[in-house]
Amino acid sequence: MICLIFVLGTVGVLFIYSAFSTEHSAFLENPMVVKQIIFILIGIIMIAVFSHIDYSLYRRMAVFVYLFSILLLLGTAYVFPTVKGRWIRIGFLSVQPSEFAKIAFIIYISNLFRNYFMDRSKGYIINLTLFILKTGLVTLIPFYLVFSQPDLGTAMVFPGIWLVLMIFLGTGQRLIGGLLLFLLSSAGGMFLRIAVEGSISGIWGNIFLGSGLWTVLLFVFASILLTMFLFLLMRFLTGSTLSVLTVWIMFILFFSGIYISGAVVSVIKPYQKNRIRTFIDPYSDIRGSGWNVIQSKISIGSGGFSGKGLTKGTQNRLNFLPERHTDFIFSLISEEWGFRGSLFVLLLQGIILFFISMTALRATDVYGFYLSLSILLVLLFHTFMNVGMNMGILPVTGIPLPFVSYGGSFFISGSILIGINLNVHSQGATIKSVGAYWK
Amino acid sequence: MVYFPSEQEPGLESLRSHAKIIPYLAFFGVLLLSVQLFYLQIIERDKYYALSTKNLIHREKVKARRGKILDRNGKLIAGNRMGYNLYVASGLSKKERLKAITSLCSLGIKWDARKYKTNRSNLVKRYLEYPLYLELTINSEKYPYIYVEEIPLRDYYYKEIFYHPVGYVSLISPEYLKSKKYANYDDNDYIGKSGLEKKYEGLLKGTDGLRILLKDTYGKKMVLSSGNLGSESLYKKLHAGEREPKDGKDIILTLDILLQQFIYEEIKDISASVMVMDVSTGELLSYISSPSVDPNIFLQGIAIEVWEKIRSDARHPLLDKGIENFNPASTFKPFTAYCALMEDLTEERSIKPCRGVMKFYNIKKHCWKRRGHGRETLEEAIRDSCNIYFYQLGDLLGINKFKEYADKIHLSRPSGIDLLGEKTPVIPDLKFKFRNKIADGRWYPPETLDVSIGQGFVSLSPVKVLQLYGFFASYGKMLTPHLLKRIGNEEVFFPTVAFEGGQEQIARINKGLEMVTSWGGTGWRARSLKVKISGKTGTMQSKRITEYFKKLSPDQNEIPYKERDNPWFASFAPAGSPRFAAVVFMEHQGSGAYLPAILTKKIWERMKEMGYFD
Repeated sequence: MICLIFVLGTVGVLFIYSAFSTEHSAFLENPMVVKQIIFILIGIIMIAVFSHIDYSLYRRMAVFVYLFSILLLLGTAYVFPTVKGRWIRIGFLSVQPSEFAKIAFIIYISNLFRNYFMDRSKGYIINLTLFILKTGLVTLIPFYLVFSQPDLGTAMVFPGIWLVLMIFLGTGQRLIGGLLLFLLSSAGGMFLRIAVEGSISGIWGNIFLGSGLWTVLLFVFASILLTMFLFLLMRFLTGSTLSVLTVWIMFILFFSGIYISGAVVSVIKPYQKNRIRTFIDPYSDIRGSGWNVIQSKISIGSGGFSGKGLTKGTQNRLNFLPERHTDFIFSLISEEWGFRGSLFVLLLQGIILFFISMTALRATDVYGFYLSLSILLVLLFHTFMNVGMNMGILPVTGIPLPFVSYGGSFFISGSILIGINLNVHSQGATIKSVGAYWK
Repeated sequence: MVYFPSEQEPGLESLRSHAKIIPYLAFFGVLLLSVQLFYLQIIERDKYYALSTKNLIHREKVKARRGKILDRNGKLIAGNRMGYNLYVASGLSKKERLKAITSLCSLGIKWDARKYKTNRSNLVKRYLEYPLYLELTINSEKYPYIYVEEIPLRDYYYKEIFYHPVGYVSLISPEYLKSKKYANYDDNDYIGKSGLEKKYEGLLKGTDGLRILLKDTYGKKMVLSSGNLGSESLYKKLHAGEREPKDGKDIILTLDILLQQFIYEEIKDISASVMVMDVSTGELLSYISSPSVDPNIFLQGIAIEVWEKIRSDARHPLLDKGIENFNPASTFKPFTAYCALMEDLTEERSIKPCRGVMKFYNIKKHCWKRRGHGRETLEEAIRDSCNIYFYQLGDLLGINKFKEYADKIHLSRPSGIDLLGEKTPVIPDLKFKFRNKIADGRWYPPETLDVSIGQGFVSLSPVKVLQLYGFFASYGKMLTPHLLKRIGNEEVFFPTVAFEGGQEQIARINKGLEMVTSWGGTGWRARSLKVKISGKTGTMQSKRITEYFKKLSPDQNEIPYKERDNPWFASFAPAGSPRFAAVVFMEHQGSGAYLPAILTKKIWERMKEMGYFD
């Protein structure tokens, strides 16, 4: 595992060097390279250290860690001098508290889920809604604090973990399904609103996209109509047993999601709106916010099978590729190492993810399970969002590629997560005993 | 150290059975990304590769240098200098445009920002003054978003002197650019509009090259090199697409700057055409049509008042008189003599002595000398330019003979001078009026009389007259007067047609022409002690001479400009073994015996000083 991280880190260093090869010709003259090498060493030490700390220990201090991270985030927002609102300076180092908050959040929310699960399996009756509200609040606080930094990409990690853990709660499918429907429809509504913004106007625009009484009435009326239609259709065609109420609630949730999305659209920042718009159509603003996506796709595509060679990418050297040592490093790798190299990096990431998911399966207690599941989710989320954004299939959010992108805080926090996961793994069941579940 | 019992916690199994899906999720996630990666990098690779190349390439035309024009001694007549065009950069936002306007204002340059185009650079001003150019290049950071580009411009060092033979260039007009013929031109290109610049446009233009520059994301341009590109193979591929410009060929003219300058200074205020030709080769040492204009003014677009002044000038500065047709007047008489000698009519007994006036076909025809010349030989008749004598020769010959001999010695064809727009000479025959639908179409014998002294329907351009005198001077060679001596180092040959026979007859005519400049000859003013000159005066009438007018015999200066006579003087020197021929034609300057004769003398003496007769 350490080897994998080390290899990924080395690839990262190579391409950070490549990204600045026009300015610093010698490898070790580049301060970025030197810094990243130091981060890798620290990261590996962190893996070693955290893999030897019993993860059960975290359960006891979970609340305190979580509260401390929230305080840190609050401090970032209101007290400490910061860089771009994300980093706080400690001496010559700048640290990203949101990375620490991720670890703290994982430790804490895993504990909450574990407690709920244990209580339920012991037979206690616990109000599910209350639990959802409680964990939702726990999620919302760091989400809001990070979101207002502003760092939407990192902020999205918190609700992401929360939602997926919910699915693995093992109960309340209907409620959680409704919640998911609501959230998905609001997300979809947001996209839709941004996509059609400006193209529909006048009375119909006001009714469909507005937030007034007419819109509410329209949605309620539409939901009733659609419910009756769908209910009758299902009754006669499939003999479904779903009640009218369930279907109607589904639609209400659906439409209220779309309705709420209007509020979301009015809250998010114009540059974020722009990112979504350019994700829908990058060519709507070639010179502006679509530029990154287009250039990133060109970089990846032009690499071909074998690439242009390290430090020889034209998109890299002539500055067409933006943020190429951090968020768009995958494009850089694709351009210079081609399909071979980028597939290699993807495979390494895949192996790490696979290893973590195996750890989740092998965990001998519920806390270990939730812990490694959350770790998996964090890394999966990062890898997927980053690579997806590089290839233009997901909107641009400032999310780094784990263990490859330049950046100390994320490398070290990722290493800590891996370390924790290794500890869960070392205490887990043998492969054989897992094999029973692995048919 | 284990806090919890190592046996499994209750309910964990159900969680695990849920969680079996997780590794698949991770696997599918990576697979999905790989598929997209494969699609981008393998299937659509060429498309994106082309896009990435397009990103960084900036094609730039490298202008070929227009060929220089040199005189026969290698002195520069037309060369190139640098011009500076001012541009506003492309792709500017509104704020940046405002900054550009501010910096333009601080330079005192007006610009209509509404015409701004984002996708290409915007020309603000051509021909920037040199101080402004210096200011802009030295303090470039003071003037953001505007830049200067250098373009080669034509420069005519001798201004008016070479306007007619060399011509001028000007910016190619947009209508030209639309046609396929001018595909290799762009809107910054100059094109020859007249004279040799137009005639030899193909030689002078050259072929533009193509340079590839690298540009980065900010539009900053860099030299194409493997170092900047980071890849040797891509560099080679791009470098192969570059083309070196092929400069236009330099052309060396037959003209002599010093002679040209000398003659032009003499006649710059009067409407005239002067040419000097080498009678062994046909090279024109001098070719002047005056008054002239400075060809440099056409380069930058001409001011309306200057244009109006040129256009309303009665002396027609833009007209190249050297290739326009005029009545050759008495300079045509040697040709009449030539025809008569060839027909052996000069010794006819019917030729009567000149009494000042003679009746032909019941029309009184006058000699220019009222008292008459008496009985004369051919040579004497040429010397005295006796009209009556040549009327009689013309009458004996008949109009068709003129045409016949003109055709024979190629007098009725254009001279073949390498200028565009030469007029075809007019030598009438019996059918001439019929063909051209003049009057009733019938040729009347008295009209032959006018032709025989070079008036009436005959008309030749000065270059054609020069050629005719070259014919006499070279004893029967029809030379092609030309201006182009060499293209680069390549000699250029123009055809010379030598005619067998008639040499004795030409010798007799030359004898007469030699006597013209003797004491008592009509061209005595051209007589020079330094050079023996053969020549012939001529006076083309602008207005029909009426009896009343003749009696009045007013001073030329009192007649309105337009009605004054047009004088000629055609000559060659040295007499006996001629080496050069010259023709002087002036518009509205009185008799050919005055100004042209004096100018001719000056020219020959000047040429003697310059060592042309050594």
